[in-house]
Amino acid sequence: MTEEENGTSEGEEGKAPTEEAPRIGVFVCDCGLNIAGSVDTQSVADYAGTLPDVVWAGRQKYTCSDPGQMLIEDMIEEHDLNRVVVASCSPRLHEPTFRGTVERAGMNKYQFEMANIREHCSWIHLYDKEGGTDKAKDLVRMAVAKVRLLEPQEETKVRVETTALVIGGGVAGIQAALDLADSGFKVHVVEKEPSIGGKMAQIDKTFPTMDCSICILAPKMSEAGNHPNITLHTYSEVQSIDGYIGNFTAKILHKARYVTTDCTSCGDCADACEQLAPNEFDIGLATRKAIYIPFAQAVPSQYIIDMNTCLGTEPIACGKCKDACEREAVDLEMNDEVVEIDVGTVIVATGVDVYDATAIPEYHYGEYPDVITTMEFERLVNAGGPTSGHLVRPSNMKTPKTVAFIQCVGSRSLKNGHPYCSNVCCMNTIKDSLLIREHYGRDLKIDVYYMDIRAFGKGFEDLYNRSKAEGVRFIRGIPASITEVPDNHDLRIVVEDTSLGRVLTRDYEMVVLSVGMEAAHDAEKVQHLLTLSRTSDGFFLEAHPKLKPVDAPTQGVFLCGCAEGPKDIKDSVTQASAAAARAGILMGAGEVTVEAITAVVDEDLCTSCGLCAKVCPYHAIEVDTKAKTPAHVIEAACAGCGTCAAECAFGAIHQRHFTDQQIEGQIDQATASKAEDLVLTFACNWCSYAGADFAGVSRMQMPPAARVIRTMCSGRISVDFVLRAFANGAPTVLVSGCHLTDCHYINANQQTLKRVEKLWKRFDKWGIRKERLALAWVSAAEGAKFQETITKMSEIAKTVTAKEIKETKDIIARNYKFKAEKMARARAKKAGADPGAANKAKAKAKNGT
Amino acid sequence: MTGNTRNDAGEAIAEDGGDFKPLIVAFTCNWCSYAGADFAGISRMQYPASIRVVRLMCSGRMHPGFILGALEMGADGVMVSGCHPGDCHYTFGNKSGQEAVETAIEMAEMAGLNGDRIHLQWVSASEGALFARTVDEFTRTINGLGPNPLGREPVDPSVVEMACSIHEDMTVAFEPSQAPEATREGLEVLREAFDSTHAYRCIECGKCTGICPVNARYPAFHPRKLVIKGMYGLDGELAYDHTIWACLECGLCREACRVDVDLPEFVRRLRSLARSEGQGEVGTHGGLIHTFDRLCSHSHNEPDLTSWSKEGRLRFDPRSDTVFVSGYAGALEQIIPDVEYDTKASPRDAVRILNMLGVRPVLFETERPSGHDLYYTGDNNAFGRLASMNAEALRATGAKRAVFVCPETMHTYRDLYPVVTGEPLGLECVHVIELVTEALAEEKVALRMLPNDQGLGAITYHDSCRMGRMLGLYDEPRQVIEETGDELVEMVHNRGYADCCGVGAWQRCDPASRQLRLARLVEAHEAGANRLVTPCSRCTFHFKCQQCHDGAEETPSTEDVEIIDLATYVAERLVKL
Ligand SMILES: Cc1cc2nc3c(=O)[nH]c(=O)nc-3n(C[C@H](O)[C@H](O)[C@H](O)COP(=O)(O)OP(=O)(O)OC[C@H]3O[C@@H](n4cnc5c(N)ncnc54)[C@H](O)[C@@H]3O)c2cc1C
Ligand code: SF4
Ligand code: SF4
Ligand code: SF4
Ligand code: SF4
Repeated sequence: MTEEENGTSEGEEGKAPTEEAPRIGVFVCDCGLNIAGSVDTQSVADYAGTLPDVVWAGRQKYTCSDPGQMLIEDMIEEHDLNRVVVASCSPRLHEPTFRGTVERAGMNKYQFEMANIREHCSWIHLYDKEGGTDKAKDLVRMAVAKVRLLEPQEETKVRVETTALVIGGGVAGIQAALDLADSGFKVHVVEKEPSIGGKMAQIDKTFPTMDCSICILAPKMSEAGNHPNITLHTYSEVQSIDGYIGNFTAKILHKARYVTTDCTSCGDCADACEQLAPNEFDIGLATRKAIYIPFAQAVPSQYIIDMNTCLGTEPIACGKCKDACEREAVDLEMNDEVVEIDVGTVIVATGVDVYDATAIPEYHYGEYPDVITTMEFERLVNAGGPTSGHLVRPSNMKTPKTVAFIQCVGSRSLKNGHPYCSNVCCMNTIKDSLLIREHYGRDLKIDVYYMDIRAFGKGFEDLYNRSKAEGVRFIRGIPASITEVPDNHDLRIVVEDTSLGRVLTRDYEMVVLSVGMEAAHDAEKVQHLLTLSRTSDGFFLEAHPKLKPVDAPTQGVFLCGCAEGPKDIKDSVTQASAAAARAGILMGAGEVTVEAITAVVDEDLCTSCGLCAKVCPYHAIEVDTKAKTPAHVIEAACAGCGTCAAECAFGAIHQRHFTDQQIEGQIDQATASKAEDLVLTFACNWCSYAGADFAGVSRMQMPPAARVIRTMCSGRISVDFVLRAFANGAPTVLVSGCHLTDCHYINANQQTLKRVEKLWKRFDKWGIRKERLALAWVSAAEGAKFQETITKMSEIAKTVTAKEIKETKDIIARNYKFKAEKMARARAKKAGADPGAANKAKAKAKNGT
Repeated sequence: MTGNTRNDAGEAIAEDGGDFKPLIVAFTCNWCSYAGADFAGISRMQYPASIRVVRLMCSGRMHPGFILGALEMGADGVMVSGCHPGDCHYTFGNKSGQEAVETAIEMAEMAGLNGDRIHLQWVSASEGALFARTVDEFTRTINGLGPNPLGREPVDPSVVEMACSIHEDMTVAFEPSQAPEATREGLEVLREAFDSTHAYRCIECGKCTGICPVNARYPAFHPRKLVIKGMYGLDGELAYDHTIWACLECGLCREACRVDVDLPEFVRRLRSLARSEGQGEVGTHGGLIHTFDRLCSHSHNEPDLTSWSKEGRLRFDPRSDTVFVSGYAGALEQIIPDVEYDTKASPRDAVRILNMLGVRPVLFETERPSGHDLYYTGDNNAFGRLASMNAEALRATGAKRAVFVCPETMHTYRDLYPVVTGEPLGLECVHVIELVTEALAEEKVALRMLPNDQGLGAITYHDSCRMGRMLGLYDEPRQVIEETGDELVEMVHNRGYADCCGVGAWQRCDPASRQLRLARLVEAHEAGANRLVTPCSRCTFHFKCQQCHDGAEETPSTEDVEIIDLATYVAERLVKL
């Protein structure tokens, strides 16, 4: 692509803006065979050596290894390099590593750039070495173009509030809170139920050691309740969270309990109350009063009124509890209230819900009384449960003589359930079988129907063998149906014993469905509160599956327990401690450096139109459109999405490290590619770029068509960029970002949508084929969607003829003025007279006071 | 086109009749006619070399399937001969021989062939001259008719293979280890079967087998093992496994499978595989239903399936935007004459309902059989032809909406045609019962009990496989039945988990199938019903057949359950408001 054809001239802006002439080093990595296996790294390095301003280029086996990093340092010194490009893996993985390397050698770390030739190239073109190598060269050329224009930056630091917010008070949330509180940090725990404890409080015994669940949990619960550093917000909800790492503000809704903290949980009120409702804690197997305490060990140990069951707040209607309470703790006029807290870190520990087996019609759960779930089983065998620990058939309250367990109910299923394995139910059933043995001996017949027994943890296989030694029969095959035998409520199971390949019909007095776990039903709400991502199975996505397993993609947010994926108590607690440690590191340091990628205003060019301020999701821009003072960015509030820079029609606001010139440099080099099916791709850092990485990690193969340009947010992508790509001759352009509700910059991607829609309209008018510009929302988990989109776009690209490209160029040249041109004109004008000077003086005066 | 062309339904053109050498298949009984032909030979009587004789012990062995089968494979004429009435060596075997010929003629004409191509002649052992004369005359008749229009197309090899392959009641115990390897084409079919049905996902839970109503009665048929054999690469075993013909294609296993393996489709593809490996199985009733459909699948033929529309003062309007697709199972009455059931009733009553709702549909005069049964028995070629001809003809009516009464037909048009022809059907498909519920909601019509319904007791509704699991119409029929005030009771297996009537795609009517049918009737009885309403005329037929054959002796109670077509039930009780 020649410069004349761009419709813009590289003029002064094109030149490297620093004083020193750029001296660039390019380090191409083999990554063992990970890259070298499908990309000819030597030829990429040779090619890099021919690029302008590159003074050293070479290849290494493992650039991230110590010798690899030492080579970079040595070459910087030896060749006086002031810019470095590493062509290796994703910047999301190793940018911090190499920034550290160049910094050690005395370079400014912002003059470093990565070309992702692994996740975005070698791994997704495993069988096309030629195409992959060509693409790698393009990616390196794009990186070199950008690095030439990178400027040194100074980072600023922001204070980190030393208070943490833990959402969810299950065993994971409790553990995380205690660890942080013991390290001296203040912790707020928000729990939506009236008591903390989560699922573990409901379980009878725990595998593999068979401890009594509440006996080991209750001390932790009360420790959390009494800890001077912990504030519990039970029966509460987080309404909103604003801010950024180190400085979040959360609004918490305290729902009215109608009982004050003066309650001593004597229970006089409940004795007086006559209104009954099913007890949620016992899953409706028992009843409670309208004024109740969820369970004996509840923390806080405080009663609560369920207003749906209560006869009414009007004392005339009832008010018996109020009269019964000597401490006058019943307050029927209590209102919901909202409190606001400032926190530096957030830990998400919202746990799981249990699969609802009514969705499986053939098992008739909820219809046949003696078909129960494992959770109900836990309550039935629990001494504190509705039957004081006696396992009885709900139909006749007698102990069953035969019990069948059905495994994988709602798990490992694409229909009526979830595709994943729920991790705990095999061991839980084995535990339950031994509990039955303990209580009722070998007279009670137990059959377990399963597909695979997953006893993978420490001590698990032992427990499995114990169960088999105790005469529990494990039958391979999942029942096709349960039908109730009329008259006696016995349950008839029809099942293929897949080991023998024979269909058996057997009757049982009780059937226990080993239900799986599913993402908490309000996980979506929490997801949007914190702009998190969830994998296709609904659990929260971690920043990196191996190296950052408890970090959320949003900085300052951590995950633990079943919220991240189904797991047992031990793993939940381990993760909780890990999350607490990660949050503690941040808060212990007391401050974090923020990347120098915030916006700056060029007051000379600013016309005070206020467009930038309108689109900034953080209200970080002040501009007085009436007084015509130039815009001003509040750096501490700016999150660095770059939406303003894309919006400004005069090129007057820049995003540091992602300037127009830098990105246009990448565009120009990308469109110079030989690939006839080129898909010039813009991807936001958090979702789409990560999604493309995920496709790479998963080795999803696609044509080598994409040249990805990373911006922090898709809001950074301007109309100029897209049209420049087309004017340069790109057959297709893909704009990708986070799904609309998942934007990491609140809602900056709404601007992306608007811009692309505007472009489509213009294309319609101008007669450019609309499908050549695509918009795709790709989350970090949607590698497959990225693959699909690129494959589809490259097909479209192939249909674009040279003639069509030529026409497109002409159309754009006729109809569109690029910013660069306008800026050049404005600068020229200013060289004559300086109409902005007066405003500038005014602004200075204002800022001075 | 060169040579003779003749549209059997219309004008005969014999351009160069001189070259035409008719081929006639002659079936003779051993005792009279074969001996008569011998006698003609001994006496050196001369007649055209046009016949190929197939010897049977008795003309009672004749089945209409043999006759239509011979025509389908290209014979220009079929001649049947036996002992004179009264002389039968098996008392009155020749009477059923005569019935077979009459049925064949009737069906051939329905399928658009000239009935004169089939000829019956009694010939005794001493009537050599009569035999020679008959051949001579019949050959001349055929000469006049010209070549069999179907003979112009290459015969589908799998059809020939089928004719030579194992018959349902001859199915032998299969020794898997002796199966030869599958051919290359076979492997291709299997690979596609895996991809398209997701069979590779199977996690061996066994639910399909546990729920399969066939396995419960015929354990040799084992759905899960079929998938597993495929996974293990035992292709040959699959191709030669004759148990696959027992599947009802009822879809229960698909409902049960947790990982969405489309097992019925997998079995269907195995059937295509078996056919391609020469391992097809002739369907029940001599495969006559499939043969009939195949006869109708040739563009040279113009079948006429509209006889039902001639009775009952039905109103049609060729300009209407609604077309009625009857799915008329005309052949049934001919095939199973001893079951008392008027197959014309269902389409007729559906149109009666439509008329009452104020709709005068287009009569779909060019309708051919939907091909449903061919599809589910793995005959992709003939099905493909029917699909494109029917879809095109339906569009040619100019209507926007197609109304169905037969759930099989609706499923075939709505779900299968677009896939097989590769283009959308272009018409909205609705079941007549959906229009009834709509009209009920708008309070345009009501349903009233008939005077003699009083005291008849409870009704149960049988979800036919296609109506329920494939069309998803569970509530509408129930709503309509309850609207009359009749008491509706449910059988143990209902809705998505309803058991099949026992015959799928007319492939087998074996002991398992009959047990299954009986079990369904017992379920109805146990539910306290003495009437069973079903939306599918095939189900009606099978249940009635069960009752008139073995149901009565085994469990007398099931005999009392009256089987009623949904369309008939509704038509009789619908009133305009
Ligand atoms: C039937 C059954 C038996 C089991 N048996 C065993 C066993 O024997 N051994 C073993 O090791 N593991 C067992 N487990 C697993 C064990 O229950 C989990 O590992 C453990 O409960 C996970 O703890 P958690 O804190 O992550 O989640 P949870 O226990 O689910 O706690 C999450 C908490 O967060 C709260 N919450 C959710 N959303 C919000 C929100 N938006 N705002 C505020 N609060 C919120 C919930 O109310 C809950 O209190 C069993 C699980 C089940 C289902
Ligand atoms: S843990 Fe066991 S029962 Fe639970 S989903 Fe996994 S395999 Fe099935
Ligand atoms: S729009 Fe984004 S980059 Fe611009 S000031 Fe606001 S937060 Fe900063
Ligand atoms: S379709 Fe019906 S008969 Fe065939 S395998 Fe499935 S359940 Fe059995
Ligand atoms: S139901 Fe599905 S997963 Fe289970 S054995 Fe059958 S085909 Fe396999």
